[in-house]
Amino acid sequence: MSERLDPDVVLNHELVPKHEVIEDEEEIERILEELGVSKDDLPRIHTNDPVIVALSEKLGRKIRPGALVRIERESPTAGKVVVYRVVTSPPE
Amino acid sequence: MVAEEPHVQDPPKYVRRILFGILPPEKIRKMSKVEVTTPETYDEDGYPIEGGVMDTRMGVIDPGLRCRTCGQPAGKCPGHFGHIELARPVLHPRFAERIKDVLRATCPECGRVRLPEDDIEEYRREVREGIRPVKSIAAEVVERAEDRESCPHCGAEAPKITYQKPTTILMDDERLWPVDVRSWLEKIPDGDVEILGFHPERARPEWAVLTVLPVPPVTMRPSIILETGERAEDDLTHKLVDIVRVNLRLKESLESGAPEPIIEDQWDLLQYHVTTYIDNEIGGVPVARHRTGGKPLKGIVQRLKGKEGRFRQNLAGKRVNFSARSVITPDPELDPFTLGVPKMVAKELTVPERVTEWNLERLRKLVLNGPDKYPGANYVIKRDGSRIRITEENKEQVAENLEPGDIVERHLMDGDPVMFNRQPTLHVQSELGFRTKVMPGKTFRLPAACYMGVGFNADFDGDEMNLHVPQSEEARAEVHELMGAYVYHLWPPKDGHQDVRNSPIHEAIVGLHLLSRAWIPLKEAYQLLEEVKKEGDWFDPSEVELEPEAEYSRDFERKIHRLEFVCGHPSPGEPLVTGRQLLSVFLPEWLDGVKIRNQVCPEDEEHGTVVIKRGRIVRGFLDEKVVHGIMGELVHRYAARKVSKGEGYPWFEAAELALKVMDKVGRLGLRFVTRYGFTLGMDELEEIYRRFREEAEKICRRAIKRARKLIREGERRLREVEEEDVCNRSRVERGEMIERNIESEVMATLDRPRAEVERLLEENRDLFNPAYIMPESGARGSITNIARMALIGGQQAIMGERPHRAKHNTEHIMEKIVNYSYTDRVTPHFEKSLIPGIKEGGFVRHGFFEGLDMVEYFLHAMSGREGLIDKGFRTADSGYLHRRYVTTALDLIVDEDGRVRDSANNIIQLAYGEDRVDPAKKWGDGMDVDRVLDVVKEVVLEEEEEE
Ligand SMILES: [Mg+2]
Ligand SMILES: [Zn+2]
Ligand SMILES: [Zn+2]
Repeated sequence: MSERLDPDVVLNHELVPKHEVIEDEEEIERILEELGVSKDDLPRIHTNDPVIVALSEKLGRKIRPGALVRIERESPTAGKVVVYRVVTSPPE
Repeated sequence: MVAEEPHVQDPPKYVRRILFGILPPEKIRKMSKVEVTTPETYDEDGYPIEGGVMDTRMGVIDPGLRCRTCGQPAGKCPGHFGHIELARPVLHPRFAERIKDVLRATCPECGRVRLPEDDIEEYRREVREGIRPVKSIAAEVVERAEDRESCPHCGAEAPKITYQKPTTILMDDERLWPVDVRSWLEKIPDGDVEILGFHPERARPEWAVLTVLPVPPVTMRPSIILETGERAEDDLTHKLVDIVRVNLRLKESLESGAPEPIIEDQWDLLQYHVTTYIDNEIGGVPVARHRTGGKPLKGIVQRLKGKEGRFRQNLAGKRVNFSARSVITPDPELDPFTLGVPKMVAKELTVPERVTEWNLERLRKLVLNGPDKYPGANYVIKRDGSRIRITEENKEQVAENLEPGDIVERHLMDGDPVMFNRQPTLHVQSELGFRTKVMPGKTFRLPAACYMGVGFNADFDGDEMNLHVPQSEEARAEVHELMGAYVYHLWPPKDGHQDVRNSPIHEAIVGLHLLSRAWIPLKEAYQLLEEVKKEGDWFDPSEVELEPEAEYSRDFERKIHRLEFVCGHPSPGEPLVTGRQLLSVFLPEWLDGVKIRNQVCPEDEEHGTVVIKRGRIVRGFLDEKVVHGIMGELVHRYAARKVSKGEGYPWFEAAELALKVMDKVGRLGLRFVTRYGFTLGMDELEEIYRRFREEAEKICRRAIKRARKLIREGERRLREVEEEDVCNRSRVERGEMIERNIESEVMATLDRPRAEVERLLEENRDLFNPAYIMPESGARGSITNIARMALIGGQQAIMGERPHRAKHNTEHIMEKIVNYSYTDRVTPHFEKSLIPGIKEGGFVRHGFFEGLDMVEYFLHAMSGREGLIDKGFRTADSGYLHRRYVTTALDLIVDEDGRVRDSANNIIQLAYGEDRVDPAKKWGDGMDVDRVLDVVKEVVLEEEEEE
């Protein structure tokens, strides 16, 4: 990542849906249970993803791999859709 | 990694993981059944020589010979490896670069990685715990170790290792021969090997220096017999012979104590042959070629690599059996969802049917018919798995022995589900399930009354399509239920709404349009219905009662609607019915309250809107839009009735029922247009030409006059600029700008006449002229086509501009070229000018009826060619785009819980389509409760009425 992006610009961009970090283990457990999946099943998002970088900056600390990200998207078919992603370290 | 002999009784196993490694020399020797020592292949009798590359201990390919290892004949023997003991080691070309890295990172004295013990240990931990990819660890180790000047373990100085592609390694500028490389690598302890990206058990680095070469089984490189009777060996065999020959020579030189330079030459030659045997496309190495013809030999790498390699050609994609390909033609007699299959094809493509006591007699009859008489059978598979080919000689015998449990591979028969496909296969609708109808002839026939070719994007100008016959009950059911043409033709998944895409072919649309305007003598009306009827039809014309709505009289024809007409030659007093009455015969009585405005004459008070009451078309003229609309109404209402009656998923049957009706409607249109005739010839165009020629001329003249003025004015301004006393560059720039502006104005001016003529034609429509009927009924073509044919070609454009040549005044840079090249006029028929004239610039004032003159023709062809080229690029680009999309999405599946997963079981979507709705099968707009309620109410009311 050569250039640092302003977190507000990233998070408020019209093409970036609402991201919310969930780090509380119990909460994560509950969500996984509700979805009936394990963490390994879920789509991933890397710690160097611009959104995660921006969110970390906002929080003032690093977001650890293993956290969940709740993403609320506009969907042409379902109106509003909530999806989850697992934060992981990027590959080499 | 050689397989044991296969055990047939072993149950199938899952591949959990695959480990890759380098074969160690001991293992190569152990799995070898023969040491290859001589370059000879066959003796005078053509028998494989012992110890040669074709030694029968490595397997046999000639029928009659038996393998000396397993004793089995050709076909049964899987083949066995042999080996070559190399007189001197050589580098494996694909590992040479990695070896260079290892040499740079390790110490030639003690073999350790030139890093402190602690670091080595830390890297080892990372490798073992799989914290990050070994590849990146090894790269880091090499990068750090190669910079050290001495060994931290023994203190030895680090030599300078240089590498010359592909297999030469130098140490302190002296050749480091593979023997020395090998003994160096041997010194590296197992623990250090790990962090260099190798593995102590599976891939020791010294194994990448070959001392013994595996010889692949003969079955892997079979020779082929040419028509001349000569034997042609496989490329690998040729290469192996080269290796053995040079190896033998080197060995002799070594034993006789030949001078060092000679030995080194032979050693290098051996290295070359081994290199090209493995990979014959390595840069810096001369490509090994065939002795005759000079074609490059295929190395092992070439066998595997690329589009034509083993993976993409044979493993990822395979050829398929039980398929056929032929030209397609339309057939209005065919029922919807059925496919006409040539008998020739039906006799070749079979369906396996298991014999039971209930179908024994039927199948026995088929077996008795044999392979040549249709319907017959080609094979019987007994319960023990043995396969008997049915012949004229043995068919009685086979039929008699037929018993429950056997499988009969019988000919394809009417009603069998088949898959039908047209390339490019871009979406589901490109490969659909049909029901077979065996027919004479050699083409596949698509039902045309209700045209089923929409999703295929097929026409009948020579298109070919493919047929596949499913080979199990499960597959047959899937073809029917999941791929059924009716699903995707009536409920295409696109956009998620139920747009009914199917409509009758163009001829039928014209017919239906005319029919809805026609008064038909009663007798002829019944004849038409009789023609529409098929054998064994649900529809019986004798049950139809047509109430005549008028009697023919001379007077009558003057009183009817201005667009109506009387068919045939009725005598006065003869009863007449309307085409709308005739069409209503097929509509279900409950089809009520349908109002669809047509596009032919939407403004017409009486017939601009089609009104259907209780299954009767009370008024309105049909066209494409209306036919399409009726079809949609039918499907929706059939489906709604199914839903209201609680009859489960409504679509399949609704689609079938609707198409059953539309098939009849379409056929009626076709019969009508066939009976009374419809044509578009020169006469029809001449009529339009004579009527509008003068007006069109006037339009043209006006535009041309205006354009001329623009051009003159433009030229004047350009000359002014040229004479201005400013620097050359800005003069040119200004000139270009003026030119651009003038051009776009001229273009716009000359583009107008055609549009104006079109408007003229629209305003004076004659719906009794076929040239109008075709486009206005929505069957085919447009008013633009008519205008071009009858009156005016209009302005041609190439890349959005009028055709032109380079301009002298802008060719300021290349004086030379200007003098020799052709400038300032489009063709030599014109004088040079700064701005091309009207005709010169591609304005075609004639229509095809009058004919284009030479210049018009040429420039029209130029712009036509541009269209073809663009189309070519577009299809190529979008094809590649599509391929990229498909390869990412092709293994996605929807699991039991409605989640979308990929082949590694990762979740792609938590709910399919985010709403878990399959748009191809959903009912209404997601769930249109109101609509369902409306329709249900309607049906209930109607049923109450009936009671
Ligand atoms: Mg075609
Ligand atoms: Zn064998
Ligand atoms: Zn050392």
